[in-house]
Amino acid sequence: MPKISALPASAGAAGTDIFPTVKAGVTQKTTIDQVIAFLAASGINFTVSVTWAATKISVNPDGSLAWANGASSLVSDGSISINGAQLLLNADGSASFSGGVNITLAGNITGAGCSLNADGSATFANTIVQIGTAGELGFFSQAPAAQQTVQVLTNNATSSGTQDQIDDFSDLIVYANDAQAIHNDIYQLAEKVKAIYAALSQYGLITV
Amino acid sequence: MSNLFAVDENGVTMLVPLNWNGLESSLGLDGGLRINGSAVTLNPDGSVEFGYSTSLLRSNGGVMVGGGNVELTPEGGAIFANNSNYQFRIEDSGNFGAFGSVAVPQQPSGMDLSNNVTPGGQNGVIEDFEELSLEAVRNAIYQLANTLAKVNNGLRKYGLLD
Repeated sequence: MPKISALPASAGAAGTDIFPTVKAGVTQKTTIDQVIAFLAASGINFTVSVTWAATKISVNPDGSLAWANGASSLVSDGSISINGAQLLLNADGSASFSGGVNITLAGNITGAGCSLNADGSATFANTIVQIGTAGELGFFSQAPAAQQTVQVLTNNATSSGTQDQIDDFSDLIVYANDAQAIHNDIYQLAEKVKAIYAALSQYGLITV
Repeated sequence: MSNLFAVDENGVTMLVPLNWNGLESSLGLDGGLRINGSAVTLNPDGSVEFGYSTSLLRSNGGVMVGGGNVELTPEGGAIFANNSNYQFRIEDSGNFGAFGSVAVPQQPSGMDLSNNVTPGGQNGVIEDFEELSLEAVRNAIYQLANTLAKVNNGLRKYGLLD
């Protein structure tokens, strides 16, 4: 039997090529396909990097995985978990951040009917409610408006009448019946205007 | 370490230490990343898309957009700013402030305004008067009260007034 080193070089390996193996002291022939099937059934543990397509994809012994082609992508039918599920990208299209940390984006967040924009503006309910870049506000599809200026009202009328009520009057002859009623109405109107002004001013919706 | 990369009947599992080769990044992709079709897509340009109508983005931390120009806090608050100048905010308590004002709780009004004046005049118009006539004064007061009631009662419906 000639030495293996003396055999002619293979012109190209094929799955049906054979080589000798020894089992229980008996020399026998085995094909490359049989070896591949054996490895697949036994599990494969590599101690060196495995590469595909001229190192465009590499699986390394340190657990890293690298793609070297600009157009390459990672595709998963299941979820992807990062660092013990601190970040989960789920197969149902959701994402969960459970590390108690912020989600920080330099760009916008855009949903079907709302957006949170990097310039500080936002829209809600399909732009029915809008916040402008300088805090302008608009509701019910009105264009966002800047803070409105309203003069402070001073009510010098003597306090009178019933709170939150504007009473009717029928003539201007008897003071006790009508002039007083007018006075009361003006005072109560002014008080209500002041209350509304104070509230909207506190919110910052209006200013002096 | 062993079994850092495994292929089995459950799929492909890759365990990458937080720090390997002195680097904190675990997985480098020049292309994108897609999950379950296009349910979640991380694009090479840095954008993220959630492809289902039921998709949710959940965080028990906060969400910051544009370096904090928009911030959603984990407790339910929201801040909208212009280059770090707070413009509009809703605090965790629901306190509300606009145009840089300190957020305040719901403001008092009392109750809806009752306008018992006999209706008169033109809606939305306060006519001038030079002589004190019953009609002129009463119409003016009615129209003032009518408009004010709408403003007051409307703001109460929105919850801006109590």
